[in-house]
Amino acid sequence: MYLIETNLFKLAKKQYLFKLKTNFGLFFSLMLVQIFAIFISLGGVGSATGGGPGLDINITFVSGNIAFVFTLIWAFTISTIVTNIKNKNIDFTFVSNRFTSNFSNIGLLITLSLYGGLTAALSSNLIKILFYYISDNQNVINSGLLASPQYILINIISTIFYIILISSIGYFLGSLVQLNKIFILLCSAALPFVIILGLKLFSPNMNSTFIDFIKNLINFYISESSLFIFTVKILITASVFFSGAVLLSNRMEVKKC
Amino acid sequence: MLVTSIIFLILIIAFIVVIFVVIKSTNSLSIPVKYKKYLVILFCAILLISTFVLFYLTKYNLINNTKANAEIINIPNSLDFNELSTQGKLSTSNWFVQKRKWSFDYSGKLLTITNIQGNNGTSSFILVERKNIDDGKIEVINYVTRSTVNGIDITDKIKPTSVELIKDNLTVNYGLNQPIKLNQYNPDIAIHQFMKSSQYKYEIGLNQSTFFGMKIVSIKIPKSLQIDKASSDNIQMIN
Repeated sequence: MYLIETNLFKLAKKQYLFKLKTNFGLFFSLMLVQIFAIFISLGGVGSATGGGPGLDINITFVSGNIAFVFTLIWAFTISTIVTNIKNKNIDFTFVSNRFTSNFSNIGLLITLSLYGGLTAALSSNLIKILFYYISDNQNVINSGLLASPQYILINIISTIFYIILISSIGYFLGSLVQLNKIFILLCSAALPFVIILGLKLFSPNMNSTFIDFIKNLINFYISESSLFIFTVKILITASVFFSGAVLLSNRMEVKKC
Repeated sequence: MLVTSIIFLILIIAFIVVIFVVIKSTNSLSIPVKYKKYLVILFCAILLISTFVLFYLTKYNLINNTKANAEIINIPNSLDFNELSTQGKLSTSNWFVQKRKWSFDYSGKLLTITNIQGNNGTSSFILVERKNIDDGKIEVINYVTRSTVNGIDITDKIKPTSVELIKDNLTVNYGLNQPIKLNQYNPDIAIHQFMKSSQYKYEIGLNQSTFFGMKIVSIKIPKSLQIDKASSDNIQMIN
């Protein structure tokens, strides 16, 4: 018989708020990463060259894509860190179970994704302003400077969902590694194959069924032009990964020393 | 392509390592949490303010992405330049921009015109017109046909041909390939994904035409001045 009836949601909320406070350094680290990305972006993110009679044309492109990519890398990294032993041991200071622990972790990751998505999308505007003031305006093309409010909002929403997707993948992999350390070896061994796969994906001459499958998988998300369908796809995929991580953690022993 | 891909992947891995180190080190930084919060709030405020400031930035001095200019499409080819010159359309038409004028005092009877090519074999189109008087002056005007790159008018960035008169040799030098550096804001990945294809192509100029123009040198010589047969071949005598 219990004097106080526990509420699963309240327990998870307590854990979530505690983790949010103790992991504030992650917000700070994202800020540093994005400041770094902003400075790199000021040198341009790409270029195009061409020429004609007597002319060599070089166009340097400026955008917030580097900040976007860095934020995705950050999201992947912190979602694997959230599942480490130190953070898992924090859960034992609360009345909790695996469900509340995972629920609070997922809540933390979604909060970080919201923050990361908002700042990554708005970093693009800061990059444009800084570039406007430091560059020779005589050589800057006007188009693309101003995105309509509609597209700024779309940028924020889609960035948030991309980060949620990456976080869910990282959380799943982190849980996999916590289940059995052998997965660290497997992931490390898989790294050269990932590099080779990446090379093949970039190379237009490489064709194979597996490469086409990977390309189709990536295009499934990045070539979706409807925001609603895109969010549904991301939510379903993220749910699968998060659910997988929850199921994996349920197989783990109570506490590792 | 292979080297570029390898470098690209190495950079990605390096960035992952850097970000991992940053995350690990910021948790152990001795900055109080209170100050970290202030810095994060300040950063967010700067980002929000920058979004609003963007709408008030003046676009003065920025290059406009003009729509494909119908006049540029209609620029006549070089076979018609004679007629245009005699009609005075080189200086009145929007198709041509006057870059520079020279006036040389010359009292000789014979003139050699040398047309020096640029470093990719391109040379200026030279039109020679005889004046009705013997005023002892050679007047040279350099025109450039309007040029665009992906809809961006770059005519004002094109340098004029150089013209020199040394003794009895008038040299028209096209010059080396001129580098023109432009900067363009591109839509972000996420915006590009959901932007309508036609608008995206317009924003980065994919559906705009590119016209590389010609340099035209119009030379007006005194009535009795003769042009040496040793002059360069690609010179058009109008009269």
